[in-house]
Amino acid sequence: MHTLKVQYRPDDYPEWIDWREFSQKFDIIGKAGSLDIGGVPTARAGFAPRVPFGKPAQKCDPTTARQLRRGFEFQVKFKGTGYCVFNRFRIHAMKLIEKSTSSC
Amino acid sequence: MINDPNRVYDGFFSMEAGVDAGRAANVIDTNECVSAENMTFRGGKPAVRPAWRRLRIEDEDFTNGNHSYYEDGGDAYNQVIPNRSAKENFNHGIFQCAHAYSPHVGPDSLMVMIGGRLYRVIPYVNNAKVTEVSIEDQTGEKYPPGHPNAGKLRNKRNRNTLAIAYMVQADKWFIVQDGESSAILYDGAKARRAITDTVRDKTEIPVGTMMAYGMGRVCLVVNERDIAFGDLFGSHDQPDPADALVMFTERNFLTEGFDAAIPFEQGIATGLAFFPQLDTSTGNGQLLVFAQRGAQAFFLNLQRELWKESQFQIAALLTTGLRGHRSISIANEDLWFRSDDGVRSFRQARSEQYGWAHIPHSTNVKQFVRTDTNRLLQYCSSIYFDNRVLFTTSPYPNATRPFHTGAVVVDFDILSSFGAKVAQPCWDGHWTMPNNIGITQFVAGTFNGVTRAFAFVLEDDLQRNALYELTMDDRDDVTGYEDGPKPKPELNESMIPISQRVEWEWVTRAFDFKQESTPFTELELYDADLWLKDIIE
Repeated sequence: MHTLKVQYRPDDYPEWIDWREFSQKFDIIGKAGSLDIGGVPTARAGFAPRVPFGKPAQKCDPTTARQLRRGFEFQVKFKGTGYCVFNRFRIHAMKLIEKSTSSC
Repeated sequence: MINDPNRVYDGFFSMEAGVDAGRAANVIDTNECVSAENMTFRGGKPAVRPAWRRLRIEDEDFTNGNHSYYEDGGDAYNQVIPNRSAKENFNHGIFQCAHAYSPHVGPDSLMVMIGGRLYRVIPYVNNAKVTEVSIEDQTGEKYPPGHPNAGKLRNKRNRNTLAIAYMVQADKWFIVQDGESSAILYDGAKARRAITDTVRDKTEIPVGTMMAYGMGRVCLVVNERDIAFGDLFGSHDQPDPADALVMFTERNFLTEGFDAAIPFEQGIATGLAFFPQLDTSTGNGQLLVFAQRGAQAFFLNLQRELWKESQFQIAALLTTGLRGHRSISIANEDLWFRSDDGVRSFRQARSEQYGWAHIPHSTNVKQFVRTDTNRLLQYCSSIYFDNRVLFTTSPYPNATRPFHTGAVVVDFDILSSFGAKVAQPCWDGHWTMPNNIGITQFVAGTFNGVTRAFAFVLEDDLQRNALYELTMDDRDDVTGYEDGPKPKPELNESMIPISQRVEWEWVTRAFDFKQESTPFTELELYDADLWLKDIIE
C-alpha cells in the first residue's frame, strides 16, 4: 500500500497548500507472495487510472487577502512512499472574469 | 472531458527532460519539472529511483576480524586487542578511501582504507566478506627485545586520523597513498611498503597523493603541485613486466630535469585522469592534471627522451578547476567532474572558450549543489553506472568523518533512443539514501563480469561504516536482514531482507494553461486527475 500527498501553490506563493492525501491507497493486483501451481508469482503491478483530486478547499492568504485557489499559474508537489510510475497528469481550472479586487 | 467553454486544462504526458531549475518554473518546457527527490525520468515517465540494498557485514563476515594493531600503530600479530581489532576498526574507524580492484588472480574486490588500515571486501548479493590486508614493511623498525613480538617487524599502519587517502590500480598492482606514509603496494596476494631509500636504480614510488595509470606509467602528485612519472611498463629486467610500474628511477634522469609542475597561479593539484581518447591503441589520451583554477595536459605518448625538448605540457583549461579527485567519471568519452560551482565536463569547459557563457552542466539542479562548502568538495565522489553519473552533494565536516547527505544524478539513457532526435542528458534531481544516512564515498567496478555500484555510508548516528549497493532488482530499499528458517539443518539461517519503501517527492512546472488560455488570464483551480501505473511493493 502506498501513500501519496498532493499540494499546490498559486503564483509562486511561498507555502505549499494541502490539496489531497491518499493514505495506504494504491496497491498491487493480487496477493503478495502467492504462487500459481507452477510456482510463478500471481501478484502483478497495480495501476490507478484517473485518480481525481477534487476541488481544493477554500483557503485565504492572510497577507494579501487573496483566495489561494485563484491565480494565473499553479505548481503541484507530489510526495509519497513506495514505487510507482506517473503515467499522466491533468489539472483543471476555470477562466475567470478578473475583478478589480479579488479579496476574500 | 467536461464540455465547459470556461474550463481549461494543462498537465503532462511525458517528463523525459527531467529537472530544470536553471530557469523559472513558468518558462521551462512542458516535459520538464522544477525539482525531484528520489525520482528518475528515464523513458519519459516519472518513477521512483532504483533501490539501495545494504550488504550485511557482521562478525562472521570477517576472515581475520581479530587482527589488531597497538595504539602506536604497530602490528599486534597474534595478540587480540578488542577495541583495535580489524572488525572494530572497519565498523567505527575513519573511512578514508575505497576503490575497485581486479587482481590477476583471485576475485574482484573493493579495497577500502579505514582508520589507516587496508581491507579487501568481496561483495556478494546480501553480504560481503571482509579481510584485513597485512602490510609488510621490510625497511621498517623491529620490536625491541622484551616485547611480546620481539624481533618481528612493526609493520605500522597508516595514520588513523586522516580523512582521505588515495588509490589506483596499475595492472596487477593496487597502490595506496595518504601523503604521509610510504606507499602500500598490493599485488592481490601480498602487501608491502614501497622502498624509497635505497640506490636510485631500485627506488620505488615516492610518498604522494593522487595517482593515475595510463600509457604504461603510474603518474603521481607529490608536494601538492608537482607531478612525478613512473617507469614504463616492462622497462626493467624483471620476471613480470608489470613490476616496473612501481619503479620511479627516472625522476633525476640526466638532462631530463625534475618532476613536472603545474603553474603556481592555477593553485594546487586536485585531480588526475587520462582523457578517454578514441582511435588509440590504449584508449588513453593526454594525462590531465586538474588544479583549483585550470588544468594541464601532459602528452605521455611522446618518447621519454623528447619530453624536455618538445611541447610535452600544455595548459588545457585556464579558468575551470576541479574539486575532489574522486569526482572524476568517464561518460560518453568525456570526463565529468565536480567544480567549484557545480558539475562540469572537460569537453564542455573546452568548448566555452568560443562563447561568453560559463555555466556548469548542473545548473538544472543548482538548488542541490549551490550551498556545498568549497573546502569539503575534496571529498566529493562520483560513479558512472547504468548510464547515469551520480555525484555526491551537500557535504558535512562531521569532525574528520565527512559525509554527504545525497547525490545529484544525470541520466544519459535519453540519448540512446535509437532513431529518435538526439536530446540532452536528463537530470534526475537529487537522490538520498534510506533513512537519510550519510554517504562517505561512491565506488563502482566490475565484479565477476557484472558492473556494480556501491556507497560506503555512515549509519547509527554517523558512527558506523556500512556498505550499500545500488540495485536494479529491488523496488524498495533493503536496510537490513533478519534470520529466516534454516533451509537445511546443517546450513545457517536464511537471510530475510527488511524492506523500506522509498520516500520521494517532486515539483511540477507552473501550469499556466496557455494552450487553452493565456498566461495573463486569471483562473480558479478546480480539479486534477492522476494516472499511476506499475505500483509495486
